[in-house]
Amino acid sequence: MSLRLRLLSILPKLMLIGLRKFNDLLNEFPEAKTRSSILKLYDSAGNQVAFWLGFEGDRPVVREVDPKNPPYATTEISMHVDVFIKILKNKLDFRAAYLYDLIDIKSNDGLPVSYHMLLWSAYFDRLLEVLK
Amino acid sequence: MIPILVTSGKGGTGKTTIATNLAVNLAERGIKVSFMDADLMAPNAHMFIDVNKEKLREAGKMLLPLKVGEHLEFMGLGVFIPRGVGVALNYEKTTDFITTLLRFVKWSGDYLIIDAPPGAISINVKLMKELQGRARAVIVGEPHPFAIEDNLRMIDLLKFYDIDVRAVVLNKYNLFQDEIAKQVTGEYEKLGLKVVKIPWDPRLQSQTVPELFNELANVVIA
Repeated sequence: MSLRLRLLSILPKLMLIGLRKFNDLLNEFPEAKTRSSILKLYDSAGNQVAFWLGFEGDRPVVREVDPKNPPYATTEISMHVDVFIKILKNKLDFRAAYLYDLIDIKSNDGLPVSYHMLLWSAYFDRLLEVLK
Repeated sequence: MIPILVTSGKGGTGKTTIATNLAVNLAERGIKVSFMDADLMAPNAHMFIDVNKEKLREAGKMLLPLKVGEHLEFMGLGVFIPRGVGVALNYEKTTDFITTLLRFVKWSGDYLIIDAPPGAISINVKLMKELQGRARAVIVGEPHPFAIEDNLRMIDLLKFYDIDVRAVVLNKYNLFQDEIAKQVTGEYEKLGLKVVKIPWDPRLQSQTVPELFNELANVVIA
């Protein structure tokens, strides 16, 4: 696995911080607790890592999962690790990345992909607030 | 809720201006109005109204529209994307956004004004199929021969999908040669269509002027 992806061992903690920020966000997105997501990152060599993000009861949970055989989640999102890093550095807007076809989003719960995209963008907005 | 599609056979006719002013006119009458920007190629409708750029919210697996004063609410892609980002959505993404806007926004208005993309293109067919048999439409064009040809194609599509064409708006009517404008008006009227003339007014470049749209609003809600 590339060094870049290894560095992403900090990722679960980071994404969890974002989810904890969801305490405020749950007022705006009360359905969030019923949702889960697979976040899949890959590099140019074909390496992949994947994380399951969701809630167990009231507790936000992020755990690494097998990218080739991920568990069910209401939505799946995948992007190149460089895109992800640019988003976290606030050098690329999440919505812009989606419009540029740099992010692939799958919906598994019947809601439109763009609906999930808007929810994810709200998540990244909060995450960036934390990182500032 | 009655959807009102504001559309045109070609781009650059002032469709967004007409849709925005129609929405504001109705809202100022105390009518509850929802306003959806479905022109995903040029999502600019929010620029003309004072959209409260609050954070996106959700309730019951539906997105909540943004408030614009007491009687008007709004939702569109343009509010959420950073200024200047190229919006080049493919057909799949465009129709997906339209689905979100039509079915997964908790609209509460008596009327849903829809600023549609211009032209007899596939995305408009998607919109018309969604609204088949339950919507009204306003076609916007300038009074010149090209616009007539393009609008005739659009009118045909709207009729095919059983959408009630309430009016043809001849925008910037006073800027065109009187003789041609009269001829164009006559062509629409021969088809049994109501023609509403909106004059060019410099104030419309930067603000809504809802009082210019009383006749159109009356025709649309009659």
